[in-house]
Amino acid sequence: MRQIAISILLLTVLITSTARADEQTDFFESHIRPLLADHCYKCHGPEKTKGELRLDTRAGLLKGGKTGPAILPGKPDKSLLIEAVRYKNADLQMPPKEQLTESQVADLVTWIKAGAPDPRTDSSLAAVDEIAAARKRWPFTPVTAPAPPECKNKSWPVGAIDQFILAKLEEKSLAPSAAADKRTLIRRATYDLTGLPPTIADVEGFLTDASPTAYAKVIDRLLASPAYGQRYARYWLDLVRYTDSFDARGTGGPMDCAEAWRYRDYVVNAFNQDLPYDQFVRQQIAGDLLPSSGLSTQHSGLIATAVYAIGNWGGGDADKEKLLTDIVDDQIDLTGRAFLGLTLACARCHDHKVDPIPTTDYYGLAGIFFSSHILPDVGPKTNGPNMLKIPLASPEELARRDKLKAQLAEIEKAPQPTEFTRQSFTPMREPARDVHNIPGLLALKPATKQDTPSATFNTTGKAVAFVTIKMPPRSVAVHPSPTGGVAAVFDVAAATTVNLTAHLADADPNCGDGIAYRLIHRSGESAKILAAGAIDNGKKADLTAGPINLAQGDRIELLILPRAEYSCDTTLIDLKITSTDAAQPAHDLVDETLADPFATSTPWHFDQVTADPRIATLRAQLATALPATHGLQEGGVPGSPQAGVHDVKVHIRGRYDRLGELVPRHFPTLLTPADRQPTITKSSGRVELANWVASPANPLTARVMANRLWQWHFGEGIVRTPNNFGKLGTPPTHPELLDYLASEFIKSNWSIKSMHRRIMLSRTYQQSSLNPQSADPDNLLLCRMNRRRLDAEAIRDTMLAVTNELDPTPLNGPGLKDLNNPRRTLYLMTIRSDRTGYRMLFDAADPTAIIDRRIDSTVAPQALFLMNHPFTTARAKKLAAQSATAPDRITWLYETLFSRSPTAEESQLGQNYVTQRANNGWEQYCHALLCSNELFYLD
Amino acid sequence: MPLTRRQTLKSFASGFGTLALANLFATESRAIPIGNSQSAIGNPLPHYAPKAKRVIFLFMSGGPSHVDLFDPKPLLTRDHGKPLPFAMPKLVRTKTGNLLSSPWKFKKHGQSGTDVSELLPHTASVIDDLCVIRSMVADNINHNGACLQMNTGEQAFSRPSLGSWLLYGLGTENQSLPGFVVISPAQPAQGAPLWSSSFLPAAYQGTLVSDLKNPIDNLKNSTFSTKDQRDELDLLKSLNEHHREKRAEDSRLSARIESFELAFRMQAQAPAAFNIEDESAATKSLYGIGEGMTDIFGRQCLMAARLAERGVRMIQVYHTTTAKRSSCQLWDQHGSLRTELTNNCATTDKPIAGLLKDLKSRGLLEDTLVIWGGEFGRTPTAEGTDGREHHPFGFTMWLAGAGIKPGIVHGATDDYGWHAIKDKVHLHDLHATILHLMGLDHEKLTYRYSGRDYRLTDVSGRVVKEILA
Repeated sequence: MRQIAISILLLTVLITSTARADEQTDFFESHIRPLLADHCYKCHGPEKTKGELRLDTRAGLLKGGKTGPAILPGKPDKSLLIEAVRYKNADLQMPPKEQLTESQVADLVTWIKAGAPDPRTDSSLAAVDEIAAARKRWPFTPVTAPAPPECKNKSWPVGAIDQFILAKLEEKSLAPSAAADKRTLIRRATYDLTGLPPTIADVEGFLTDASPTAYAKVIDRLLASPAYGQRYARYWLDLVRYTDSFDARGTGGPMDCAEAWRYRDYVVNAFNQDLPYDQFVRQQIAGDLLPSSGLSTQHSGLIATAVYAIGNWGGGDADKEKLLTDIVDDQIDLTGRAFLGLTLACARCHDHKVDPIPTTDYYGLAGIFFSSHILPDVGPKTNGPNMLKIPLASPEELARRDKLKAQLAEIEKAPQPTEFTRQSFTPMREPARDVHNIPGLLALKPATKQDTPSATFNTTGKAVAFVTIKMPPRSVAVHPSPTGGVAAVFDVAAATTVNLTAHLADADPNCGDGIAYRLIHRSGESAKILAAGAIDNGKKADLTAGPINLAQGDRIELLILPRAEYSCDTTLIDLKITSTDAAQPAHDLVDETLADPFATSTPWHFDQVTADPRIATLRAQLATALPATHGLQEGGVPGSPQAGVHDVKVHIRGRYDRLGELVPRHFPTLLTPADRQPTITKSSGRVELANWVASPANPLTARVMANRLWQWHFGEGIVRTPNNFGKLGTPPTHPELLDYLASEFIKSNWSIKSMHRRIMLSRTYQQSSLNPQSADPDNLLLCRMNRRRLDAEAIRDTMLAVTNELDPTPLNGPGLKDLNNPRRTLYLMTIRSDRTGYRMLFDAADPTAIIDRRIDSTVAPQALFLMNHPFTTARAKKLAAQSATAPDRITWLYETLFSRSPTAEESQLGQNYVTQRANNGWEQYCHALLCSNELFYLD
Repeated sequence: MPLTRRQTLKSFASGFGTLALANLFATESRAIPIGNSQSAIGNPLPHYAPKAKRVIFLFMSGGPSHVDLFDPKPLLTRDHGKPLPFAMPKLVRTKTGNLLSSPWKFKKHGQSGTDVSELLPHTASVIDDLCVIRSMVADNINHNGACLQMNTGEQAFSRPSLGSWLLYGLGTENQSLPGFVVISPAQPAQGAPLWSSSFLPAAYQGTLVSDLKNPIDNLKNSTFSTKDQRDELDLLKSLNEHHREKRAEDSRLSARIESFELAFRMQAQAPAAFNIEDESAATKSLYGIGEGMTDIFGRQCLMAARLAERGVRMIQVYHTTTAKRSSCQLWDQHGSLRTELTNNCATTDKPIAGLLKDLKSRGLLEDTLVIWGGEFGRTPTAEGTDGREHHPFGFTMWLAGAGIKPGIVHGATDDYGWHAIKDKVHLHDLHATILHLMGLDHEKLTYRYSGRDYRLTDVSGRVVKEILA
């Protein structure tokens, strides 16, 4: 207790003393730095150093230029800088073109008077010393393999872990607790590794196995169970802000992370197949660039990088440059906290205030992510971007599809005269009025009444807008179908010679890939193409042809055809036919049609057109979308200012419109001295980054993961701030033990399963939790096991397991919305915009945040869910029905739910309750058991 | 001494001490305590005497047009159809056309003589209670980022919302009800991140009421009678007492036992809090309940008043649904300004004025802060022929009630309603002011997360003293 009191005291002191410094720093950051950056850096910064003066570093200010130091801290009136900005000395006036305002000058005076506090670390000077000093401190020192200490009690420890724990307990004259009984132990181990309760048979098997390896066998059985990966994947997903969908408004759409589930399943497989942790890390950072995944599942490397795509960066924005920097910030935050246990993202706007991470290091790392992309493009200004979808197919399959696409393009580009015969055309006669509830908007559809193809007529004198389409006053538009075209057809009544002019315009520029068109003169079985081509999305075309000799019965056909994609192909059309003989009437598609759109007496009609059968076949072959994943690819977002592979400049105060020095891509100097920095030129640098993070020489990676594994078994880590090993994190309770675990982790080829065995076979882990000694109330020294509440997943899975309803098979698909589905809770859909569901109620991870430790809340709405939600009451009913066949119902229930027999008193309590009820007695009794503390807390 | 109606309403949760509730949360990442009191859901002391005890935030989702509602611009009318006479900022969403004068007339109202559009006759009738801020400024030009910033101070990443900060700082006054309620029949902008507790404990997040008929989940049991349920809870208590015998030191176990008792009381009491049918016909008609257009939003506002009366700390009322349509951005008039803005005003004007009048008559306006606004305003320039684009550079919000100078206009935009030019109020300043009125110093209300102290106002924010009574 005293230790805690002291550390709280220290913390308070630290906070008070930093508070004042913070105020001064804030003043510098809010008033001085922007002023210097805006008015001085241009000539006295990294690019130019006029008068040999630099004002972008503290050292530069103090050293000054040709005329001496720029400032004397505390003495504004003696500082050259102040003299210059006051504009009183005709020979010394700065900035030369534009005098500062009075309040800006006053700010500089205030600042210098206060001693010119300046948090800018000069990466070439003082900072180097600070960083070098920090490198000598835990946790930035290399991982060691400390020998376990000697203990007085020689009989208790069964391995190094126990020696490290016992030594500390003995220092405080504490003794470890007795071993947990076998029932408690198998229950603990089963929940720990699978998130599920042991069955009655599991418990009996363990009780009857008297061999010394009985417990080790249980651990091996559990580790081999597919349920293990489903349990541990969830811990990892918490750490990487995993979500199945960004926003309920667009779930499954192109802007959503609809393929995220593939990453979820990748993580499940990685744990189940004991993928070495260093490879697991490498694949997530650069799996798209590495040769092999080491997993039995295909494309794992590509899928692994999706972790960087499912980020939390607020969706779309008109401000695309901000969008790009926000994405990179999310990616750096993830890399820092999940893999390295460091809050690197703090250095986005200013040098990290506590750990020696200057902004130059942030932007050194940022360059790597700015040189990679998770989006196909930045999207339109009015909306968010689509997510990149990387096809999951063999190179052969991709090549085959490219070939098909080329064939299709070829057919579309060079149409054969026989491409369409007269039989390809069928008139559309199905009228529709007041389309989209717009009076005067009319349409013709095929007899099948399907949505497309169609012809739409704006008969009003006003422009109309519907869906994403705009039609000008008095206009005609047509829309092709997925498999064929649409045509305006003119029937020639009498022989004549004509000239043609046609006008086409895409009426729906928001989406789609444009259309293809043909203007055809058909005479009997022969057809002549007068014009053919394509227009891109949002574009127009004007066509002319003639003079053409027409015979009676001939036709002029204006065809509109879809390209690869048909959904936004509404096209405005007009066609004028003027005879060379001025006495003959001219014909105008729009005028004559709009006079009476549904009349059959005009020479115009609108036909649906079945395309060249080869086109349909090719389209069908290409229509089956390839499975795809989100993920990282090389090069900045295509078409954006960050496209390609490149270094980035420091964003002063995090602003992309205030750029400082250009920083080569590199790793944080704190962790990698200059002589060991890589040279990254041709690629993004992700491979280098992946290898660096996953290196045994990286002091953090193994320590951070060993600590997490410890935490997942004990409820608390050796470092109790698992995502922050920096100065503001909590120091380790057992630093030598953590180093021992980290070194063993590396030695075991980063095998997570072997770490589970090592931890669970210790006597430390097998202690009872029933040891109410008050000497160590927070159990920092582990003289007992921590009692843990089941997490949201284990609670729901338990309810389904004890009623024998749980379907444990892997889902291999998108998350499920229905709470009543029988799959494991891992597969319940998470949507960032929705917090109303079951998961959030029981403190499951908030998918907008990097969660290293679940909050453990107990609130009335949880009780309400358990008391009243149909999910719980249905489980109670099922449980009551299942217990009915047991010889002793209450004993069966206790063994199923709690892995133990009831006491006589407990049996009596149950019997009394049930017999006093007129009906539903067993159901209510089962319901109470399902709500009980014993089910929710694991000893 | 007879209890007043409000005292009675607030005391119905008695019997469950704050200490037990404070223990309901077992998490290490506790705040640095505020003052010397315990933070979290107990009742920690504010930094100084508060003027306001609760907030009702009326959120017009989509961005209401300031130049058509509260900020008349004669030059905009004069120069209709001409280009904006100065350069637009670099940050634009889509390029808008020339100046579009407001199709509506403004008149001065009340003793204060504040201008209000003819679209808002009911609001005009209570104008002397309002402080209209015409110089609001925000930073984001899209709905998602702007709504997020208006609610959390941050545009892209997950941060605790205003309501969560208030609960964290002040706790709750009624332990049978959620302390932060969001009433929104449809999802506004990106949804839950707007009322998220983010890294603050989950208990501080807003509770969403989207189904006005069944506001709180799981309050009814369709299987067992109340008596059966009571008996079952007694059985559960006995089971739990057996379990606790060997584990007496673990306070979480008793907290969980208590949580079931609280839940049982909530079942009985919470529905009444939300049940607006208890109100008189006169009160309902004050809000326009039962009258086609105003019915839904009227119900939302009356529910807000009832929750305020029962000590809910923050109630956010999103206008997302009318009788005709439901949208996350109902006030987003890129087109159809003339019809849609008219509809929006017709559906909200009477309920909002009704709320202010009702709060006054219940004696609640003196310690309730009412806020009206959206995530931004709209461009004085035209989008198409009948629309306006998003506009965070200068727009209007109003405040009323506790601690606010009534009947004033604060700040101004330029001659065309584009930039805020006088007494700018950034939304960080608004947040600082709200916290101030609630007795909290925005620079001291911090939470340590991931090695850093976080604030609602980040590194900015200034209390707008000029509008304080």
